[in-house]
Amino acid sequence: MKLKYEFVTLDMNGQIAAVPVGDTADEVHGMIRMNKTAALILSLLKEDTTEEQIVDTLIERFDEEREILFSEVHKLIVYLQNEGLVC
Amino acid sequence: MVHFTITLAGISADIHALYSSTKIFCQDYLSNNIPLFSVTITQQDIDYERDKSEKNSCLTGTPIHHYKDSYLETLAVYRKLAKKLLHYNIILFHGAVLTMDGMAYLFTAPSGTGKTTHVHLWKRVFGDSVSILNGDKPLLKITQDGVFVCGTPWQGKENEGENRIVTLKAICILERSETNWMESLTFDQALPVLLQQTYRPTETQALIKTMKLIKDLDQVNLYRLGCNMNPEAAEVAYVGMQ
Repeated sequence: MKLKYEFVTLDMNGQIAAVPVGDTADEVHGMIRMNKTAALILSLLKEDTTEEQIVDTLIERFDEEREILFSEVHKLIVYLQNEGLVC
Repeated sequence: MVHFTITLAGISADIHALYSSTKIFCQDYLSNNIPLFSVTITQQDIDYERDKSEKNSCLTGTPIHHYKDSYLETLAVYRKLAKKLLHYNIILFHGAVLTMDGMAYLFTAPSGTGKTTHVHLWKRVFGDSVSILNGDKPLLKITQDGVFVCGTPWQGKENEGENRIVTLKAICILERSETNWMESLTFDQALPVLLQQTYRPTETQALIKTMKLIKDLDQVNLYRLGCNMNPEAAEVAYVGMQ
């Protein structure tokens, strides 16, 4: 699983915005607001990966229960799938 | 090939176009200043605009327009200029701008919402104290001393606008409503629309630069206006933005 589109993520005065970039950017409507964890997940999805692999990376960086991180990863991925942003 | 110099937002550029109609289109902005950069249009640029327009029609489900190359060239010129103008902290924004009491008010919304109708209501209500600076695609010059709106030849179907640079007092996101109401917005609340209504280059570094400039729009007052087509809408908007 990986992102179908390339995104630029930037802190916009306190909130992180992910904005599609490139020739196919018009196919994606608008920006996605996200927190720092979601922005990291998005960056990991630039390469082909799995939910398990993403959680493994997050565990190394955040002092958080695996189940909680898995739930957060799953929620974002379901959102990205529903928006047609991952393949 | 047609060659001329224009000055937009205080920046001069050489234009090398294929159609003489493009020079006529830019006639109010022709200048004898020394250009800081040049833009050259090729048939490939025009074909890109046609392709972009057709893809956009497919995405939005609207009929495909078969535009003339001469019209598409004007779009290609603006796209290339917008990329270069980023280096001077200038962004291209979609909206209708009016001026009153020496300040500019920018109304933004998706095409067809009624931006033009609304700015015409201001003229009806406030008369000659209101003028339309740009009906469609002004430039915003972002500086430490404030944000300035600059007239451009790309001023919409009604072709209303002036070659002036005016301090931007407010950006107002417009939406249709049965009643007229106004609310202040935080930068966070307005951000999705500000991003959507700004020309976003396809290159990563240029997009990052654009997003950084959009961050500086937090120095402008931001509002949302729900409005109908009655003159009261202009009064509610004016009072709400003072």
